[in-house]
Amino acid sequence: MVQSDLDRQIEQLRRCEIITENEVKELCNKAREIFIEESNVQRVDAPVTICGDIHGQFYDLQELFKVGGECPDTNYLFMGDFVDRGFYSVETFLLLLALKVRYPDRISLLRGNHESRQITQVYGFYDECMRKYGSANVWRNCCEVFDYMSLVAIIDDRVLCVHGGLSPVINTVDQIRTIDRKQEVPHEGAMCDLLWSDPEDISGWGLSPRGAGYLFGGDVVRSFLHTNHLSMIARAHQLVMEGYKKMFDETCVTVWSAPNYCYRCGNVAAILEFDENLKQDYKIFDAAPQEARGIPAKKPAPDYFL
Amino acid sequence: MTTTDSQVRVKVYELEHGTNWVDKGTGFCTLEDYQGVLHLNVASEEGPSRLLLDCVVQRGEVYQQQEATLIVWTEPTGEDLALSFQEPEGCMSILNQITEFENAMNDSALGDSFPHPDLVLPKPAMGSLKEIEAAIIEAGHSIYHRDKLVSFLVNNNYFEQLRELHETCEDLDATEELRHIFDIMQRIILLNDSSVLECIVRDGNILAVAGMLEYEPQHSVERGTYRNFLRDNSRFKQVVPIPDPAMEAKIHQTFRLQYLKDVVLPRILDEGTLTIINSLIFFNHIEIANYFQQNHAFLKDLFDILHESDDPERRRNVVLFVRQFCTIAKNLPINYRIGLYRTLSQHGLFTIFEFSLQDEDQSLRMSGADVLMTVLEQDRALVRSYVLAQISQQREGTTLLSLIIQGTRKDIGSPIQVQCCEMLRMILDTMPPPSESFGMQPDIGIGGQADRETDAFLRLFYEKYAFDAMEPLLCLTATDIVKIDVHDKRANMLLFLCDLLSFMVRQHSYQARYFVFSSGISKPISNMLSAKPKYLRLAALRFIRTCVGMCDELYNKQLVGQRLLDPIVELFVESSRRDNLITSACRELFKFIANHKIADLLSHFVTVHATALAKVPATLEHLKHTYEEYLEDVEQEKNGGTTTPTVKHSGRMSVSINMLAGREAESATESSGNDVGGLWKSNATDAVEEAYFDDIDDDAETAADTTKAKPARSPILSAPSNSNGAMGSGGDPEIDMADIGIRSPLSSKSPLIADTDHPDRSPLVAEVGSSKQSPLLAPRSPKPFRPRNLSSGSTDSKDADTDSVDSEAESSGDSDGFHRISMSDAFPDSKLINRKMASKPLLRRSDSSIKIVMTSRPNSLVNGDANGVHKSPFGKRPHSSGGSNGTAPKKIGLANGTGHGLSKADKERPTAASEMAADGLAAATKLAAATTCAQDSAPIGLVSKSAGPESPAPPKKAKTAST
Repeated sequence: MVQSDLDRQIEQLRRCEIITENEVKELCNKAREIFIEESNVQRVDAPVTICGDIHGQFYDLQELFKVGGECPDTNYLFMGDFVDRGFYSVETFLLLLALKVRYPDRISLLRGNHESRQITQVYGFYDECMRKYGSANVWRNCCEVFDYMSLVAIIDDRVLCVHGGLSPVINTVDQIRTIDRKQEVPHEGAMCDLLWSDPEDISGWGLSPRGAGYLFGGDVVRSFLHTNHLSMIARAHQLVMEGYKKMFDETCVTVWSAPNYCYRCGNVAAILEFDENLKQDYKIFDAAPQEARGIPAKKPAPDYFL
Repeated sequence: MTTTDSQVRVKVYELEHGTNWVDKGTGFCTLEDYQGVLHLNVASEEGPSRLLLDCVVQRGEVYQQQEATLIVWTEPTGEDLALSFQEPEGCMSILNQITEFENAMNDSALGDSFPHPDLVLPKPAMGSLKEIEAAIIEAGHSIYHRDKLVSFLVNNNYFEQLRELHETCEDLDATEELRHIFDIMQRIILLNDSSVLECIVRDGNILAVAGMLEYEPQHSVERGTYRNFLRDNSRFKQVVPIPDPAMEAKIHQTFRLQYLKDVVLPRILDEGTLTIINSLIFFNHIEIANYFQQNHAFLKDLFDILHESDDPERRRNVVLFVRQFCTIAKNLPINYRIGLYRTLSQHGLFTIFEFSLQDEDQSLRMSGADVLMTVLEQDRALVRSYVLAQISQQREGTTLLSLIIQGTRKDIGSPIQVQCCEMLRMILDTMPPPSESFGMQPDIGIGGQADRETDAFLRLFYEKYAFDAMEPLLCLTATDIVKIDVHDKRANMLLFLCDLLSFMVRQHSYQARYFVFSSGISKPISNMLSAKPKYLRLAALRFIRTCVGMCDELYNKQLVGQRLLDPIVELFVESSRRDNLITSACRELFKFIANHKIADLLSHFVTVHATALAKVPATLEHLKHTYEEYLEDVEQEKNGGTTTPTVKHSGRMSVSINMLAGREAESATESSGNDVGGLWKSNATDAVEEAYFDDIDDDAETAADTTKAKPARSPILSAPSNSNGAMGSGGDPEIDMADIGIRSPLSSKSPLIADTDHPDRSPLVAEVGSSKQSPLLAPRSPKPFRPRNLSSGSTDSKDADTDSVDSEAESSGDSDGFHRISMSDAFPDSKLINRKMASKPLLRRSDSSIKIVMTSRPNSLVNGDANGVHKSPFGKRPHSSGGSNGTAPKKIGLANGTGHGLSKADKERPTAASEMAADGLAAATKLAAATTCAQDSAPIGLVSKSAGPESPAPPKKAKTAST
């Protein structure tokens, strides 16, 4: 792919215009090459800004960039759930993917539980691809890329970033490295837990009401951090009305980056900036006004028999 | 006119703040008839001119008598009122009068002559628009008035009157008024009534209404946009004339509804109205599908065109017609789909594939492929039996299966090629898909004839087609591999074939194994381990991992004997410095081998590869340590006088990773239950293959001898003779596949396959409905909220005990101590368009016993944006009259006061009101049981945690599994 093509595609996607099916395919191939080289535990250097769920809220992602700075001026780490629920999953994910391909060292993308074939068939990304491209090929290409995405990132050996949380079958960070992540998100096991678990005010492990992953308490976090010489866990995966929520003496923080989630929850969103010294700065932002305008019209069927 | 002369003394009460009945005074109650409208009046006893109460008598059993002297009711405005009578007689008298009046009203309504004088909208005029809108808003407040308004609109041709005014306004460019008419129209649509919507899409009204909707303030389109689109009749294609005009009208109306929903209204529709539109479309589709399915004459004429007509356009339209038919049918509930594809196939459904899949026109090929995909999704067995029949009938010529196989390598990267790959995978997927495993399809379900057909199909495939399908992979030489770079189109096809083969190995057990051994395909795959594109290396690694995962001695022998693991060691050593996806995949493989103590492989690594692996000391140590442990175990058992351990054979010992049962642990358990190796051993039909393996063993041991004493065309030639030059020794491509004399032992029954990579693929799946099915609900049956525990409570209750799993469970009212861990069972690799998810939920208890119970989860939102089940977590019961207490016209389908925005309760529990439930994996399975509870939708992301995986429909099957 020629660089200028890529830049043009990024511009196009920034205007919330889709790129062609072929361009998607090429972009995905390119991204696959990059993701393959990434570890399950991606090393990231501070300063970096970490972001939670986006869920296809394209115009809100633009707000995010306004607040946090454009890529590549700011380093970003997105902790998954780019697609589903919002109206612009295609544009959102492709923009982030294009930025990844263009600036691989400036932006990291982790996999969320929505980056999955099963989930996207239910929560909107599949339908959106069908609607915008008329076939499932773009969806297929994107799902293929999901399989290669990294699971966890560690900032300066101190902060573990993951979409969901911890897993009872994982005690050390090195164990995460022995997962063959190139697969659909499984229904149980380490990989599933990393993408599905939630922190909760309990001790030890609890069963998750989500039906996948576990609930983990402050003691679990403490011992995991101690074992692995880490200082905190940053994760996403749960709506927080205030945008972020610290738990367990600030050893675990939830960052949520989809303001007015699903265009109706009324929450604010947050991103978390770590400076060179890992000093934290939370930035709060509101939903973009355009998003509130509702569902974009679909293309009508050209002809019909029935 | 006074209808009664008796004086009835009453006290008037009003409920304030939902708790206190406040005395509003005492007076005399009368019923007054003002021009056909009955008013309930109470004149104060302090002065008859002062009215304590004056309200219109409502219809529909609003007035409830409590005790002998109390009448309680709710006004359309939401006020709760009560009259306390001094005498029971007075109370009875008033109630009787109300009933009489109601009966009289009903009688006159039956005659349809009653003028509904209170709900006549003003005649549309530029000056009356405000008044009209106000009247509509007013009427929306109560169901009673709303119904009256609806019947007025429908019966009085009001849309026609509006249209005349609208035209005038357009002529005058009266922007303000046009916007106002839009508002009126919007309010009418949001009355959320199916008869209004049906009226709108009728021939006489649709253009007028579409015209009015062109003036949406925030989204105005060019004048005439919608009208021109809808006016254009050429969009409707008739391949064979539809004999029934009513059916044709229905088709048009459905198209218009779809257009309104997708293009005209998406910005203004609320969930309730969307639900109504979806259900109208849904019911129309049922009617349409039924009509054509039963119209055999029509179907005959339709498919005859393929044989008789010379007009390519007409033939093409047949394909497109069938495609749309299938698309519609796909979303119907199963009982409407039963037999549909079989009916179509009797009339020649399959001929359209031969016609379309080979056509020059790519879009036609795609349409044909779409139809075939749909059929495969719904009824794989049908396609397989067609293929069987086709092959038994015709000895020559192209078959459907070979068409698909050819398609996988034509135009690589094109959408049609991708489709063909997908179709090949689906046709080979012998696990019953959710739709087929559902008990309602006796003829194509699991068991019986279908099973035999599947076996026959697989036999046929491996005999005649497998070599062809895998040809690009089989032909791949080491030199070819080197030439393939990242952008090579072939790479994606090789990736597909390699993954397909892994899939076959997992699913087809001995047939696939026989193919793997006899074709020598492992060799080119292991060549791929050094391919430039890393995803090919990974695919090759996955194949080997799949073989290892089968825990089958024969595979292990082959891996060792053919030195297929050598390049993996190389790859691992090389990538271990980098820590990338390949490193992880390799480490996972070694971990698996160690965890499962696969002796053959362990010994191979620690002896043959010790030097190479020394560069990755941790892994080598781990393998060595495990191998020593294994040897000790063997030794101990010998000393203990027990028989030879089975470990050697199946290569496995018990695994203890964690009590919480990781995925691997489960797969190990499953494998042990279906010992593939054991079955193989007992087959006694494998003499040839045994000999083959003996050879391989010899091979590996005496590398120098390999060139001699082998039958010239034996696949043994493909076995590398030594660890160094083996990859390049180009003997294998020359093997003439057709000439391999070994035939597979296909007579035995396929064993249950332990699917180690997909432990979730249990046949324990149940079809439970799809998102599209949710409109099954009667559009207007208001179900304000669901009972707390649905019927699941009853099923679980026998297991229920008091030990609660965690506080969440209790606080959410789910106190049965269980968490249902639902897991959707869609195929991980599958790109099913079919969104039916089957669930294989687990019931977990704190005592860590695990039960597998079939449950299903309701789909909660019709528009696909499914959410958790709404369990009315916010306590307040919505107004019983269907949630009409707000100002905006409310939903009937989703009648629920909490259906919008954030309630206070939510704001108080920020994270708790998380997407948890809305988002649960369980939710993936929520497409379940749409038929029973789709209306219990909750606002997105606002369901309390507890609403997640709970409230499943009654379990369909139950099975206990040990941890």
